[in-house]
Amino acid sequence: MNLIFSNRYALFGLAILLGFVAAVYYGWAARPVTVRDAEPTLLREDFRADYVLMVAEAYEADHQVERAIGALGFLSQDQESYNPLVFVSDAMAFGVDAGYSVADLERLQILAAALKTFDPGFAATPTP
Amino acid sequence: MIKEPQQRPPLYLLTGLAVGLLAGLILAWILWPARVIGVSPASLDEPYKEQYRLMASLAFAASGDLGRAQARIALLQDSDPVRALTTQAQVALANSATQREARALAGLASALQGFVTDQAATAQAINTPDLTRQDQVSTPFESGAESASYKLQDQELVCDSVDTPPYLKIFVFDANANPQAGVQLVLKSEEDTADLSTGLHPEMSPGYAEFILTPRVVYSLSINGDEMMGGIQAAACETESGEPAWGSWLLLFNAEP
Repeated sequence: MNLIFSNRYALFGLAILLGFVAAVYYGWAARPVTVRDAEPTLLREDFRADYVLMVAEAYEADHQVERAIGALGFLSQDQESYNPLVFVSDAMAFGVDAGYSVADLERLQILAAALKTFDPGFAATPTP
Repeated sequence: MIKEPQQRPPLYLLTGLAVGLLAGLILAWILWPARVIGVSPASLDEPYKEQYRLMASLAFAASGDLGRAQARIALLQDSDPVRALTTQAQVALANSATQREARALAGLASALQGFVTDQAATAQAINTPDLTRQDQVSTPFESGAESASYKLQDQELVCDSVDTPPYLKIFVFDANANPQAGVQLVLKSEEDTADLSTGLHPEMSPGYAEFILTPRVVYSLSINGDEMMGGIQAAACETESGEPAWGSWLLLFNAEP
């Protein structure tokens, strides 16, 4: 009798475990939560790089480093203090791998050069 | 009388499974959802989308590259990108500190609107049957060698209705004038090649094949590898009620005995 009970408890526990594992797999891998209202830090690498390229294109026209730094804050998790040069360096590395045109790589380089003249401890105004 | 114990379904197993499932889903969807990385701009929260839209506009204002700006704006998957840009431009216009942004947003909205209008006009110009251009449209002509295994028996431009696209309708018959299925046809244009086969529309005829011609494109037709006709082009015609429409080219081929 005791054996039957202990078997039942064991099977009950096993069923719970099975259901738990199946549900976790379903919820994490098969059908993870839909991403809505995401933050820019979650953007895919190519979109991040393209955003930096947009900033570089805008900088090419207005040469406003402060604006560029403010716009790059968009990609930062910690918008109070960040180093915008990191984003440009990442974008350049991605651009080289992804085959960006020479003109685009030059734009990124020009922006990187402009950022290097700034104090690294610069705290930009977060955007938007 | 001794009653045999009834076989009861193992409800405790189902209960356990349900409890496990519930706990697992609460963990996976609420308490500790999977961290998703690598999202597209379309998944961004609205204020971030606005910043993305603004940067695309400023980059366009600087570079003038409309194709690139259009591709970037398309990533946001706005139902009406021009309206989204215009609305954002109006908001920026209300603030004296963001006049430059407003101009950039409005500039891109205007350029995109112009592009969409041009595209629609071009598509309409290309796809609308124009009877005045009929003298510029070629009539299909035979281009087959003497040794070709098929011969053009008849050709006709049929004007059905204004809703009919410019069809090319081909009927192939064997040497005994029976419809012939499985004949391989190739339609070539400068841009594309289409492979057809008779017999795919048995409701019409086993020897029938059809193709919708793209207006302003000139095609040549080969049957079983032999070039048969050239200058095949969508042609406009007039319906019985006098309305302009696309005609359907009807080509009949007979196998040489």
